[in-house]
Amino acid sequence: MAIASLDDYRAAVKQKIFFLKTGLSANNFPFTSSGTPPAGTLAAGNTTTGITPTDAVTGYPPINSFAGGAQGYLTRCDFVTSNASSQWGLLFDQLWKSGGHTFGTNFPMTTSNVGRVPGSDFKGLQLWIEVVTAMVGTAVITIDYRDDADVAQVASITLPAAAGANTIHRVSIPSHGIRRVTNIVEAGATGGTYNVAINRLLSRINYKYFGGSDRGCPPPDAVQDNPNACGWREVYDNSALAIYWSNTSGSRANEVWIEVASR
Amino acid sequence: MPIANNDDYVGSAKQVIEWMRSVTRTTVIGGWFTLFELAGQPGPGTLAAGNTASGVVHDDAIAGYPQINSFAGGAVGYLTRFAGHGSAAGKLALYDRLFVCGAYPGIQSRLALSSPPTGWQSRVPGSDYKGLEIWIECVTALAATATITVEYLDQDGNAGTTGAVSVGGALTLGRMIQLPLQAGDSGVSGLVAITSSGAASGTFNVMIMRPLISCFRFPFANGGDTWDYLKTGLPVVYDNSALYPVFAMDGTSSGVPELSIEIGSK
Repeated sequence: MAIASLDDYRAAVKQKIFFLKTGLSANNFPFTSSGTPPAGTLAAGNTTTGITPTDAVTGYPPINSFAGGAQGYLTRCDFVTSNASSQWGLLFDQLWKSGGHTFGTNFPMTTSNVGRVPGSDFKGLQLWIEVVTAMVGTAVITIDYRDDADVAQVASITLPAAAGANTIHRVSIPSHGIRRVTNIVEAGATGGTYNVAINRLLSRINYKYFGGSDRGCPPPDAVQDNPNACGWREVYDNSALAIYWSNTSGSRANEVWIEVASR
Repeated sequence: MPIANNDDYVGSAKQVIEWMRSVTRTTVIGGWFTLFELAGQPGPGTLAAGNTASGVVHDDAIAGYPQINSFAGGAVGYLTRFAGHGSAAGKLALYDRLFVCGAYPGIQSRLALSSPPTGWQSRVPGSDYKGLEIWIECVTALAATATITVEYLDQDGNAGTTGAVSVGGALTLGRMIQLPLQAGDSGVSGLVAITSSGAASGTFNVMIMRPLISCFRFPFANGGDTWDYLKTGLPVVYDNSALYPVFAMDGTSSGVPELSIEIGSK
């Protein structure tokens, strides 16, 4: 059963999920930071097939099971920051990741199509690099993949010199989407490790106040306080919810309240 | 069946297009630019229309445009949500790029289009041509200020002309300028002829565009916004629309924008 009306939403089972992470910086994935949920291990721990992260993995917030046949949705998403230098956040369902890959090494990948994709529509899925340990030199990462139409494609990204640990970097893919990765290789760096991740974007939050908000007083437009504003994005009861942040300066603390409704 | 109330929206089939560009373009403060041929997701398109004699109809099957899933039989599609941020401050507008011809040189004697295709007219809601716009875009940099004249058919099919428009300065790659319509005209139902002078080198396209949203702001570097359907105004989108974001930045770089475009259909 799906939520097809506001009455359905009112009657839906709702659960709140909370993130609190500190020590954030520019283009950052604070997966290893203490807070809520507790720190996880950033390195995916598998460089041959990758892994399918779920809410059961430490570092992702647990999601209660939905009733039989129910469909889940992101219906509210409130971001609060300790400083307005935090300018955007991206809430993902992390579908697949592999790593930590070492520099200068070729990694053939034996993978299946990623799951938790509504309607098996792979368009719009995004490819990201997560730096696990700081790169030495300038890393150039090339990724072979199968696109949304199951056509072989190649994507490449040059990371900033000495890209720091926990930084995240979106890979431009010459297609509409991605369904699986088939090979990963890095050239150019002389140290460092990284993950490759396929993510499904659930919410894009922007902080409108620049230089003026305090913790506990969220900028109003960082609050997607109704389901329409969230776009009714499908969430699964084993989704691996993860947030990438971009802060312009310094170390910041961010909170996120998420509502998942299911029916 | 159209989306006629909020429950229709909630129950509609939704697809979200993720659009981004990963490299920047040098821009002019406040000037409109396309990023169509730059790398990103979807991959780059080809800026030159590739047809100066008749022009071509663009749709979502052409490289560079995001693909749109087919709607269920009888369903009508709408732009129901729009979100994005950019690494540079500025604004954007989103169009359905209906028809394009070019690339024409900066010096072009009057060239009448020969039997231009009309398939794009199926993407004009209610066959109401009011509000459609004529734009040029620079395919290769113009060596000097060009003077461009576009003859067209107005919203009612009557002959019209933009007159000789001096596009002001040597346009750079990707620069876009909307051309004014003749006094009394409010739309475009076809292009008739192209004339240009003044630029010894460089080329440009001419386009018919249907605006979907405008004035979406990136208020500061790395800033952005989210519009729900009350802000987008629910413009009709077709499942073969050629979605075409264009950017007018506050500075001299496009930055690297990322957009999430939700289309609801019912």
